[in-house]
Amino acid sequence: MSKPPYEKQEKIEFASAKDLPPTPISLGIATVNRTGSWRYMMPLFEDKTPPCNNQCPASVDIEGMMRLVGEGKFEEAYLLLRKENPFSAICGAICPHPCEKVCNRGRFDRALAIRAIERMVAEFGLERDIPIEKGKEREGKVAIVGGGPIGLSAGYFLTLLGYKVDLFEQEEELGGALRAIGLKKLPQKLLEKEVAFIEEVGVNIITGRKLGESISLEDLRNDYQAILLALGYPPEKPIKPKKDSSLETDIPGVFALALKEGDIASAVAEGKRGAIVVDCFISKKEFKPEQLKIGENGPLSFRKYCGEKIKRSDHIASFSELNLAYFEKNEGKAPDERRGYSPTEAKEEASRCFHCGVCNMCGNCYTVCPDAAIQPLPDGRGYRLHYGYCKGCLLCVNECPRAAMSFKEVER
Amino acid sequence: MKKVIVGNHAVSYGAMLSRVEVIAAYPITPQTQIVEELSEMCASGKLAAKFLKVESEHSAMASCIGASATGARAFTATSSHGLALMHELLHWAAGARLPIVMANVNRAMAPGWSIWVDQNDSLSQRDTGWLQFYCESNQEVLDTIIQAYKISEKVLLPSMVILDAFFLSHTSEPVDIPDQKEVDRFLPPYRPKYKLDVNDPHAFGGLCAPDIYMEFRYKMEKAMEEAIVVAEEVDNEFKRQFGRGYGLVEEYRTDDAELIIVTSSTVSATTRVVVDDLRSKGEKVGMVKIRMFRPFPKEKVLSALKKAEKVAVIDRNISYGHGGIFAEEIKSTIYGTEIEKKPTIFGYVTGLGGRDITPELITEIAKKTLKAQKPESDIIWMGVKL
Amino acid sequence: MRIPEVELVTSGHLACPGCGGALAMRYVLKALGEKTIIALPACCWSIIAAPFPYSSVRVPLIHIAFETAASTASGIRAALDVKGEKDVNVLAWAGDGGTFDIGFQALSGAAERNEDIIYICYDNEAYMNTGIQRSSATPYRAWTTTTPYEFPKEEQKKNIVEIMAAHRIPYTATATVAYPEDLIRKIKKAKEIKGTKFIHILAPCPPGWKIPSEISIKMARLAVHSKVFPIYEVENGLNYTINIEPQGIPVEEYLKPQKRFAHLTSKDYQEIQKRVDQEWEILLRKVGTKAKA
Repeated sequence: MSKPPYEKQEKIEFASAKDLPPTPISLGIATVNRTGSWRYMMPLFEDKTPPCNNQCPASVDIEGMMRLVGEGKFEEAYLLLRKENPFSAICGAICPHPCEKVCNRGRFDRALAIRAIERMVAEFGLERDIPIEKGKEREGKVAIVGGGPIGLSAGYFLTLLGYKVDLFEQEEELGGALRAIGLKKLPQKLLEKEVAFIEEVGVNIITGRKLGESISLEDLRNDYQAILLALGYPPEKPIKPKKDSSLETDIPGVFALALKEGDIASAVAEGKRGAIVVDCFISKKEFKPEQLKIGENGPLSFRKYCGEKIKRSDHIASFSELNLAYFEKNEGKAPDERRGYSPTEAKEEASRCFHCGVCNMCGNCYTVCPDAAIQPLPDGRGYRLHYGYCKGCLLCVNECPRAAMSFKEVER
Repeated sequence: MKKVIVGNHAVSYGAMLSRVEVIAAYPITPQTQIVEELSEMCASGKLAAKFLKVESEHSAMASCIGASATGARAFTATSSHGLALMHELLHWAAGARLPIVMANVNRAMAPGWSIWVDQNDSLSQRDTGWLQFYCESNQEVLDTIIQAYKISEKVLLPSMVILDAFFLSHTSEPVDIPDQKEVDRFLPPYRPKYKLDVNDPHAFGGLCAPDIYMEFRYKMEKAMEEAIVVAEEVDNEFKRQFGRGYGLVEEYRTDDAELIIVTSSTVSATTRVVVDDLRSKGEKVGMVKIRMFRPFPKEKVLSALKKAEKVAVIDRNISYGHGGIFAEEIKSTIYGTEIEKKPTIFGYVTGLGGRDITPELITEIAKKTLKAQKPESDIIWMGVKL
Repeated sequence: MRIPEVELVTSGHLACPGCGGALAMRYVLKALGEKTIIALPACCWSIIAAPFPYSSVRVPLIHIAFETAASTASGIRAALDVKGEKDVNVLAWAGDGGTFDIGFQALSGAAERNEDIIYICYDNEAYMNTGIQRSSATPYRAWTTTTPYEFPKEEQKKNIVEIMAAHRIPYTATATVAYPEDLIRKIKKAKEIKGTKFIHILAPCPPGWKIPSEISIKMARLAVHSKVFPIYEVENGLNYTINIEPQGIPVEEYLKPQKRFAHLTSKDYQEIQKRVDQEWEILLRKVGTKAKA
């Protein structure tokens, strides 16, 4: 077994010439010399936010999905998607994929076909009925009025938080605005599947109930801790929230959601926001949206709200910060227009992901350090930078293919 | 086994019997027969050594250093400019405390090209930390090489065994070539404590700051002092086993001498004859041959020379700007000590570039010295056409 | 990138931050392993190796005089042979000074004798250890303290690889720190060959090339892709293989970031580009001819 490059070495001293060997012969190693004292700059491992993650309105961890799909871990990828998005399959069909437009690979050869991969993963999960874990059961019932994508999303997230959710939809069928989209783009079966999924997670859906007719706000306020109005677009009787961010209406305990943008991912985001606001209301917590954002001006993340530690700086890893020398041109295969990607194809496509700003343990930093100051941790869980010896040359930062390192000036 | 061989071949036999393991050498007149003979010995299998036919003397010494540092018994031979070319590495071999033995055929330095005998080449290297032995006969050359390995491997300093160009190198003399088994008994295989070893890695010769360098040099000097004792022990041991010993300094008819002639190398052989001749004519003359020049055996020189009133030193060399080198060293030894009667030292410089030092010349030196009260100058040139 | 995990260079060595030479040794020892003896003449690594009583490599190493890398290595190999120690690598590790200039005789001698050593020249293109003086490896028009801006170097860089190939030694190759996998592959290949192996590694030097430390590897990369430093190998001095296809970027892109070339004019760039293209053509022709060893 080889010895580590930074094995401890005590200073060696000689009291007299008698103690010396006849000629200068080394008796210890150079690690006695803590060259970390030389540096003016200090490199650090710092994951940043990939542009795709930052751009997704539903704050899906796209980079994470790519990593898992690239490893063939489709089930894990599915569960990752579901942490932020109950409508992954539908997004995979009709989302306008703003993520793909900012994909850094697009400026290199061809952007990742993120949407098609998302679709493959979502359908994989739906086909196998992969169960979703819910949070611990909580005290409280929440009523949601409106079975469109916003309402259904809100219901999904509140259920994940452990609430008992009753969702009232005026029509016999669910989907709201989604039903207006052409069947060519959004097959009926897909819509049904995903709605069924939400029901299976635990949202109790009651159809044919219209607010103001078969149900009244008064009744709801008696039976439920909070009411979330997701009345779709355009609203018949607009009940506006007092202030945009809090979603609270004039009536205490009644929250109103409204969508300005028209796409499915934004709808999910709005529903998610509603669920978080309601939970804050019921558990008397302060709603702090700044702490839940992904990236610079990103949308709220449900994972963050649930306490998941996402150790990434808000800085978006831009194209100019990547080191393209470590990537080979590979346009890969665009998804088939009708059937999208097979799992194998999705895996191949996902392997083209740059993982902008996120360390994927490629080991470049370890490879390029002239001082062997970056070494792999024994259990393979990453790399360690030994600041006792790092001279601050910043080769690691510069040669990181994906800008997953940063540096700062040392105070002297 | 007695054989009539030239001095160069005596060197070869000395190296062969010492079972040297790596030889790296470059030819130069008048050393060439040494390496030619060694080449044949290696080719025929008589000697199981690696022979590196290097492309210069500098590389020869570097290869010896590499080989010796890796734990092999290393040998080389050279002369004159070849030795001068090695100069940088002579310092290195001594500082690295490597027991390399080298035969140097004393030959004059150019320009004007000269292939004949002169001691300036080896004496110019006297500060490098190498032991130096000046040999009078081919037998002595062979024996001294074997002794040199034993001494060097004990004190960890390299040795130079020196023989005169042509007068020894190319002159045939009867030499008793000892039995290999006997030599093996005298000189065991080389097993150094410190060497380049992948099983015990160390760096050798790294940078030494002023706060530690001097200690290493102190140790080198201590090793030199030890060498005086060890060299005598080894010579005595050799005498016991092989019946031949030479001492560090040899005294010849010095006991009641009024004048002692100090010599080295083949001049000693000629001077013996002159001493006998002068003695037969009633002159109280003796001879001291200095065999080991480095370390300089001060005590032995002092005890031998203080017997006489006058000392005539014959130097086949000169340190420009000072004088004959043996004379200088003897003067500093004698005058630097506290003895009652210090002999007057006459320094004669002669025989440079191979000019013959004849019995007549030596007799002239003796007579001149006996007649003079004190030396006419620090350097008394003999035989120069003025 | 996958490189061997063993570390035989320790941290705490005295190389400048970003030193290409330190990185080169790290890679080479990873490839050669523990059973390696290094002959180290005067060069930057004499200091990087740390002062007495420490060493920054975990293999036996001997410091030796400037011009003696190849001759000392020959002696070490002879001793190992005599002792019957077969699978120990003898590595002569010299800078461009100790290879192209003062050490050249010993190198040529050892190569002519086909000594069983691996000779690696880590080339930072000047006598860096003594404070950036020119060597015959310094490129045309580069600044050094002995080729100042008023009188930059007029001579072309000596083509050491061609000289060594002309010795018809079993293996000659170029490599650089920007391509560690290629470098390691070549060292491992050299390890298995008997005879003299010569590897010329371009090792950028931040203080000497006047570049910030973090781009030293990038410079090596640009040197390759501008064809200034082609990556190729020569077997038996006759059969040439180019290992990395250069992207063919203009030399200006490689030279501009280095302040040692700050004084170059566009005329200089054209001249250098012409020369680089010419040398590349010559190399391509050699690749085309396959000869029997």
